[in-house]
Amino acid sequence: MGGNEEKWIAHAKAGSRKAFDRLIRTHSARVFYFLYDMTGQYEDAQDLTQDVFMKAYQAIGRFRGDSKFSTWIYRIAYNVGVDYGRQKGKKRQVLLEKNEKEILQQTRDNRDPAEWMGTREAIDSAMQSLTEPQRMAVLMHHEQGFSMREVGDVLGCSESTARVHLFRGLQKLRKKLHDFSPGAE
Amino acid sequence: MACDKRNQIEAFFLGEIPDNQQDMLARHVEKCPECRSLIESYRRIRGIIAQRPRPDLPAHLEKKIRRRIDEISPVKRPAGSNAVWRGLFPVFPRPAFQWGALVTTFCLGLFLGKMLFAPPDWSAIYSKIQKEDPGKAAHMEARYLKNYLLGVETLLLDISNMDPATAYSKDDWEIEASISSEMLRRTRELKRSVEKKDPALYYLLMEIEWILEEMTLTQDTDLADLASEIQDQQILSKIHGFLS
Repeated sequence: MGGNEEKWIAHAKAGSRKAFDRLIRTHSARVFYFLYDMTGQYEDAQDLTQDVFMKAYQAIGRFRGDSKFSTWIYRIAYNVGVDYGRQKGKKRQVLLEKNEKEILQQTRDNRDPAEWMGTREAIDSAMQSLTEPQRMAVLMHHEQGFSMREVGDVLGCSESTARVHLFRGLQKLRKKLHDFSPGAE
Repeated sequence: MACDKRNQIEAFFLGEIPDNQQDMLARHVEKCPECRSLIESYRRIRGIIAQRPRPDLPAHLEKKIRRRIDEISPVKRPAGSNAVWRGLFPVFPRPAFQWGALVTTFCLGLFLGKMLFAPPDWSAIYSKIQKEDPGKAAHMEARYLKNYLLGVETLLLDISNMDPATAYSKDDWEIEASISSEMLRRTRELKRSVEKKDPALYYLLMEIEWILEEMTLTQDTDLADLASEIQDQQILSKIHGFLS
C-alpha cells in the first residue's frame, strides 16, 4: 500500500468522499474483473462492483489496516460474489451468450473474434472444472499477484489451505489444457 | 510423478524457495526430465492465464459506483467511530481538527465547571474578615463552633439510640459513616485551631474524635461499646456545657 493510499484511507475513514473516490479509481477495475471471473456475468459483475464499493463505503470506519486495503476490498467482493451465487443458484457458465458477443464487438482486443471466442471457451471450460476457491486462488495469485497469505485472507481460510486450493487448481488446469495452445502464442 | 523434488518445484512457483536453494534446484531440473516437464506445464498455464482475453471495462464504471454511493450517503454515514466524530463536528472534516475541537470543548467545560461548581475558599474569606473586622470574625467562630457542637450532639444521640440488637442495613451504616467522616474532618480542624487557646474544648474534641473514628469503621463497630463510651465520658453533657 502506497503512502498516498494510506492517506486516502485515513481521509475516507474521516468521511472524505473525495478520498474514497480515489480508492474507487484505484481498485474498481480489478474488483470488476475479479467479480467477472467469479460470476462469469458481465452485467451482473458491474452491479456487484457497485455493491462492493457501497459496502466498503459503509464499513470503511471499521477498516483497521491489519491487511492491505486491496485484500480487504477483495474479501468484500468475494463475499458479495458468494452471496450472488447462492441467490441465483447458478453455477458459473461458459459465456457464449448473446450479450457476450455484443461485448466482444466493443472490446479493443485486436485479436480475431473467432479466435478470441475459441480461446475463451477453452479456458473457461477448464476453469469451470475448478471449484470456486481453486479458481479464485489461481486468478488472485497468478493474475493479481497476491501472496498466498493474502489469498487466504480473501477466501477466509488459512495460508496453507489457500496453497492447497492453488495447486489443486493448477493441477486440474494442467490436465485440462494439456493440448491447448492459445492462438496468440 | 516419481521425483521427490516435485514439492520443491511447486514451492518455487509460489516464490517460496530461498535464493540460495534455487541454484541447487536448477541443477536438479537440468538433469530431471520429469521436473522440467512439470515446470514447463506450470509456465504454460501461467501464460494462458495471463493472456486470457477479457472484455473492456464497462463504460463509466467509476461514475456508476459514485452515483450509487451518493444515493445512500445522505442517510448512511460510514460506520465506526468516525461517524460519531462527523456527527459531533460536521464542520471539521479532518481528524486532527476534530480532535482539536474535542479537546477545546473539554477544556472549556472543565473551566466553566470549576467556575460554577467549585466550593468557595472559606479560609481565604475568613482570613479577610479577620483582618478587616476582628469582632465579626470572633462572632463567626462562635457560631461555627455552636453549629459544629449541635451537629455532633445530634450524631452522638443517634449513635446512643441505635439498638445493638437490630441488624442495620449496609445503607444505614454508610450514611452514618459518611456523616461521621465529615464530622471527623471538622473535629480535627477545630482541634488544631483551639489547641493552645482552649484546653477544655481541645480535650472534648479529642474524645469526640475517638468516637467518630470508631464510627467510620462501620459494620465492625460495637454499638454497645460505643454507646457506653459516650455515656461514661459524659460527652453529651460536656457538649451541653459548651453550648450553654
